[in-house]
Amino acid sequence: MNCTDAQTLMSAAVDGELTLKEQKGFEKHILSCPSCSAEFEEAQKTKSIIREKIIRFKAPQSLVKSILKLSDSPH
Amino acid sequence: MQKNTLSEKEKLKQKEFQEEAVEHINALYNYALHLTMNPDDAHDLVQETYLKAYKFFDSFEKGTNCKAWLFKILKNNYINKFRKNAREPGKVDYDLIKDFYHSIKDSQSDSEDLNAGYFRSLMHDEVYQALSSLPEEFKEVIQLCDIEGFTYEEIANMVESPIGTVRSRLYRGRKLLRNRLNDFAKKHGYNTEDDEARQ
Repeated sequence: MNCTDAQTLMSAAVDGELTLKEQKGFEKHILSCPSCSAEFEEAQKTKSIIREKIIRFKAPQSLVKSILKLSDSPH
Repeated sequence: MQKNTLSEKEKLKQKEFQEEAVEHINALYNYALHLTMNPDDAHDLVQETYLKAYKFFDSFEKGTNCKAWLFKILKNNYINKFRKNAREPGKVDYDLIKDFYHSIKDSQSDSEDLNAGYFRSLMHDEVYQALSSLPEEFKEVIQLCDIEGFTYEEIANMVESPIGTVRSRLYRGRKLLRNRLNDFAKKHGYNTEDDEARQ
């Protein structure tokens, strides 16, 4: 596997979406390539930041009520 | 004489709909907010999505991911409502978003240990701004993957593109996002290269 192949698989590696074969090839490559290894780490951090920092809002009560009412009324 | 009570079939549909679909309302509302950048538009979009979902609930394949099904309906509604009318919901008003964040923010429970250095200092709304500033195709897949936790297969179905395209958009989107976050850090006087070197 070369760097281009590793970059193609990078996001899937971050998200645990690689096949076993891809995973093995990817791991082998980043062990021997500092540049791809650093990029992989960056991508993992970026995902963590999004997960940690993006605030989840609650739907307004008025909206929740209107949805519950929707499935409570005959259609 | 017309009966005023619901048929057993309708009652069952209501029960299943409430059990399967209503629990995703917060996720849908967040997605709608990301798309429209406007609480009123998000409210309407979610309401219309549920209306349509209820109407077509019989076509929902049981055992599949109801959240993904609802997201797809919401996305289609969004396209029909805003893009076809050439209406612009996405003009980002950062002050509005910032105020909105501070006024109605929910708990942020994820306590995952983040990176040392400047990222810890980034504000929620700065990350939001960085994400919002990405081109739509990148922002969308990052939202669906990192925020909503959909699989690549589900995302590919939602954005109507092959899985390879989802992979590539996530890769490029995260790289762009990282650059935008670095810009924020530099603006605040952090030397990101030094920070990285210390880790």
